[in-house]
Amino acid sequence: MKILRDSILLIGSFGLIWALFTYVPVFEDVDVGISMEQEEHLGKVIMETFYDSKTHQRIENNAADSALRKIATRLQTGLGLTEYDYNIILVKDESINAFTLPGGNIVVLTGLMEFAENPEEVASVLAHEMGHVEKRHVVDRLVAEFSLTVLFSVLTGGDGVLLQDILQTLLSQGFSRTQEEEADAYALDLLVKSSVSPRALASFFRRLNTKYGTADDQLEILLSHPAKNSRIKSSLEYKIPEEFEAKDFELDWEKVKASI
Amino acid sequence: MKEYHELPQPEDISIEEREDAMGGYLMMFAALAAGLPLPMLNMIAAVIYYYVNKKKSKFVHFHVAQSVLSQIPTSLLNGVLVFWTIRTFFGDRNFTDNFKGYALAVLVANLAYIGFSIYAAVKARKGEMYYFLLFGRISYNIAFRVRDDERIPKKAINLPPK
Repeated sequence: MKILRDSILLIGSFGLIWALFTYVPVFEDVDVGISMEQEEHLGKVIMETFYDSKTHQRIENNAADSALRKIATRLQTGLGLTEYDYNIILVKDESINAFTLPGGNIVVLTGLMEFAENPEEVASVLAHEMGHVEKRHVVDRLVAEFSLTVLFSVLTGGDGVLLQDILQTLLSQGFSRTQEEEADAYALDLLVKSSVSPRALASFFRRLNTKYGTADDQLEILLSHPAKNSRIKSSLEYKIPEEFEAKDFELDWEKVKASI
Repeated sequence: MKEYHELPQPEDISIEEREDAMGGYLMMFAALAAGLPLPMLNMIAAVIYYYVNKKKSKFVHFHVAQSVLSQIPTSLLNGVLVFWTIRTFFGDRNFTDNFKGYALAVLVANLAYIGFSIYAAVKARKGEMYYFLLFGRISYNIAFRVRDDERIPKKAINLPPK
């Protein structure tokens, strides 16, 4: 009996320590090794590479661009104080996707605007991308993919090939599931603060799943933002505060889509 | 009813016995370091040390048994950690909170194992018993319990022709 008691005590202690280290975030505040100023500078050079590559046609001064600006402004107001100076641009591309680049740069593709049924859905995706920015997931990913030495060499005037390589990595590879879930949670809070219904995120992902199935490889946004049912479920289960009141964007969405 | 041999007192234990008993714990560190990439390797060294030394005395038997047994859980935990790390590294590289929590818990388990082993090694060198949780009790049973073959009188018995 004493042996059984001792065994339970040993296994229980290990389980308790495991649970404690799992649920108490030990690693969350670990310095990623790149300061805010460095990230901003990195964002600047990467955006220059992005514009120089000429494979991406930026859409400016039309209804879609101004609608995106309106949505972004509302979210930034909801965001409040932030260390980032956001730069959100619209790029012509049929893929239903949006990308986060370093230094608060977010690229939204026209395919996403066309697929969205209303501005709230675009806002939900944008809020999700802002979550990646605020949680510094982009820098985490860059540090994981490229060493700090490589990133510092870029900051001190790195070569164009390397910059292309970094840009390609940022545009093609997704975040980890934990990071996606963190960005989702951030987005839901931000949507509420911005008077946008947080259910828009779930409805956007659900429509994607319904239209394209769960075959992730069919759709780029699912590849980089895996729309698993658990994520839809957590969006749907998000508890909206009682005092919440959604505010309309007052946009003629059909007109916005037509301008693309 | 269980019967146990009498426990030897420190003054009855020779220097050689004390050193062999202490060696059981200390040798684990060398084996642990050598076997880190493949944690199960150190178990082989531990088992060899156990079989070489267990006959020397009951005091030595107890300590080497305790050092081998106490090593099993940490070796298993380390093995799982190595497997999980490799699998994640070559998979989606998503080191989850669950994984990080496990890695830290394994680190704590290893540190506890090392700490207790050093303490037990010092105790063994002084000719004292030191009981780990669970493994102390099992090792005491292994080393000091009177076995059935020890109950049969060893002296020869003359019998008439059959």
